[in-house]
Amino acid sequence: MAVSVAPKASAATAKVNRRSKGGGMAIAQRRAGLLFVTPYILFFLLLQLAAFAFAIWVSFHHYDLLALDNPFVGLRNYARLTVNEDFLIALRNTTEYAVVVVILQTAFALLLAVLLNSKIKGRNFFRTTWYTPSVASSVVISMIFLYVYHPTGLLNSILGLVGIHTTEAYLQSTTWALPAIMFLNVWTTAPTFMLMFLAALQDIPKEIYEASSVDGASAARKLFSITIPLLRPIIFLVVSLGIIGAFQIFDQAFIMTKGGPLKATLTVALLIYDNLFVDTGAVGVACAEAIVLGIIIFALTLISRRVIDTKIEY
Amino acid sequence: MRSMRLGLALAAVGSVLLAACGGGNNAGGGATNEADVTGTIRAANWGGNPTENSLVKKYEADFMAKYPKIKVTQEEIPDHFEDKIKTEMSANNEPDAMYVSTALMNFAAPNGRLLDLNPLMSKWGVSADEFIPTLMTPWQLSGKQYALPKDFGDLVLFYNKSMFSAAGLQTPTSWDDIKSAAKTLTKGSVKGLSLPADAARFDAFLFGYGGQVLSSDKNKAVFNDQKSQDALTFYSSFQLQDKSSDLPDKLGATWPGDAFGKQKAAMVIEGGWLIPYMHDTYPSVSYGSIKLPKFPVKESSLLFTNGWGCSAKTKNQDACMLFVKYMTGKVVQQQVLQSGFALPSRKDLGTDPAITSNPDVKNLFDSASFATAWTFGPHESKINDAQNNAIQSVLLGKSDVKSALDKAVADANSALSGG
Repeated sequence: MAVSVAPKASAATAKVNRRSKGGGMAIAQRRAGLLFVTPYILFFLLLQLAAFAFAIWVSFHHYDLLALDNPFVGLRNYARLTVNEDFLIALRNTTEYAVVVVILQTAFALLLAVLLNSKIKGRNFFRTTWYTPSVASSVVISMIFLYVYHPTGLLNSILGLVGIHTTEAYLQSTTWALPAIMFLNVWTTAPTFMLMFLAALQDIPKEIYEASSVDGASAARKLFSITIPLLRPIIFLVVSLGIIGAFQIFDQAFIMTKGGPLKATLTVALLIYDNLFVDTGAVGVACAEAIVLGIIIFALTLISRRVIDTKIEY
Repeated sequence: MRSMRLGLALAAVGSVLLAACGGGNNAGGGATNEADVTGTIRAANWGGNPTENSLVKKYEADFMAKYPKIKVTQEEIPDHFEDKIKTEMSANNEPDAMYVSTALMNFAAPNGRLLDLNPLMSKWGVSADEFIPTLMTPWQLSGKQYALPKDFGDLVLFYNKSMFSAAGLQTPTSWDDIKSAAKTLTKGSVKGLSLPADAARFDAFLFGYGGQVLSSDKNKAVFNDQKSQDALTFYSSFQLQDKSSDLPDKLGATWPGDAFGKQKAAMVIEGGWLIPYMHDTYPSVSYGSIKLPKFPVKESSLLFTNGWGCSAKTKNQDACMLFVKYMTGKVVQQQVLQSGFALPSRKDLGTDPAITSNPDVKNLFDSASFATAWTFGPHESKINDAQNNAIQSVLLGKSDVKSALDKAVADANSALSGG
């Protein structure tokens, strides 16, 4: 008990000390600090918080962009979602997509990071090239993959070289369209997360590995007993960023498949867009969908924090 | 005498007042002479096609040369035209004049966002009789005229002449001919025909079989009756039974015209837009066209039309109307016709040599007499989604014709009833 209280007390005294030493200085600093954050706070209040509040308000109304009168309808927009077939399809597709993408990209990113952290030749070359997909815009990547997945495109040409001759049109197939977009996303986002893992890996003290070597631990044992446990906070970060990104999947599906074929790649974000712009007068429904999506992402992030981000024990 | 003098004086004062009023109204839009109309208007067009976009720019320059007191600024919207206009309208910042698609008409007119052109048409001497009647109806709602048709396109059957003659085939004249030719011409990766999973093609069959998309009061979807089922059964039989047709993307093409140009499909059902496309992209392919042969019930084709209209909020109504008059007038439409982009919506151009001397263009122009305008009211995007999904699930072998159409009609009806 006494041990845990002591540092807190010393921190408090340190704070008091600093304040009593140069009061004017601290006020000036605080003022400067406020000045620096003001633009962002304004931006946040006006463009994010206000928009968010407005979306909540709209979700309780029958709202048409062009109508003058938008009556209050209570929870009707939300109630409709539970029986809206499109929303349920979109939710299923998005969940499927998120589960596969988050697991694969986290594993893949960790693998790449561990490889690059070992002392292999040409490390800097690999670091640069593997990161390239994350630098390009998702729109550009999607256009490139339209060619890759084309019936006579790159993927089928490569398959042809190894003796599998097919003219499968992946993006027009109800079986392959969603996996095709999943793969593309894993490929583009994994390198970003690889960088995060790489930074975290370099923070792990070498002494721990040396000590485990002395104890005769194998490489696999080191990975599962030292590396992964010590990376927990960063794994939490990667998984939650992954969940947030995956549930918001829009551009790839919008550019490559428009949600088709037969709604096989219809995602929640795509449905929100459709309700907002394509269907007249469904803005209230679109906002209700957006709020539900936001709640889902928030809840999943909290759960992943519970599961992953527990206390680090050496 | 006295009273007469007084009368003259009053008349003089009156005429001065009238003149003053007239002068005052000039700025506010009360001009009665075309040359006196002033104002600046923003005019929006979609510009996915650079050639079309530069043509619009040229016509607008011609307009400003003719009406030097009116200034037009072109606003090109490359993609998602309706989405952009819709957000601009909700922000009360839409252009004065704009292309009006049937989709735009369907969400903007019922909300009172488009200007009724009827009073302005009589003021500036434009008569509805100048236009082909079937092209005027898409822009009408409760007796008001919200746009004037700027051009139109419809569907005919294009066939590859060299592939036909190499196989010793005659120009088809009936659906039986087309069916057997499609089978003969299917070899390896080449198909006789490419029919897409698209209601904008299939509905020509649907109407030709005597089916309807909506009930006559337009409140219910009815495209699952026996006639519609027969139409979809026939449409899908090329791909499913005969294996003589395939979806464009399965042929390595982006749309049927692309498959036709790449000679992966010997026949396609397309419109006038195919002609400049073939000229620019696949100039070596020799092709011909026929009007769609008579279906079991009647001759049929689909009519696609766009118009020019004005925002209900424009401050320069007269300038906007003169602009619409010019852009849908004979001078511009004759140039559109010669560029090969679309067919003129005006009766007086039906005998233009550009139509009568080109058999493909003539087929297209003549098909308008029996073609149906392809537009289904405020919920058409959902109705077309439902139709497209039904066609796609049948062509992909995911569903039989009856259950696909039943499900699509249920989806369309839930959209129509506001669900």
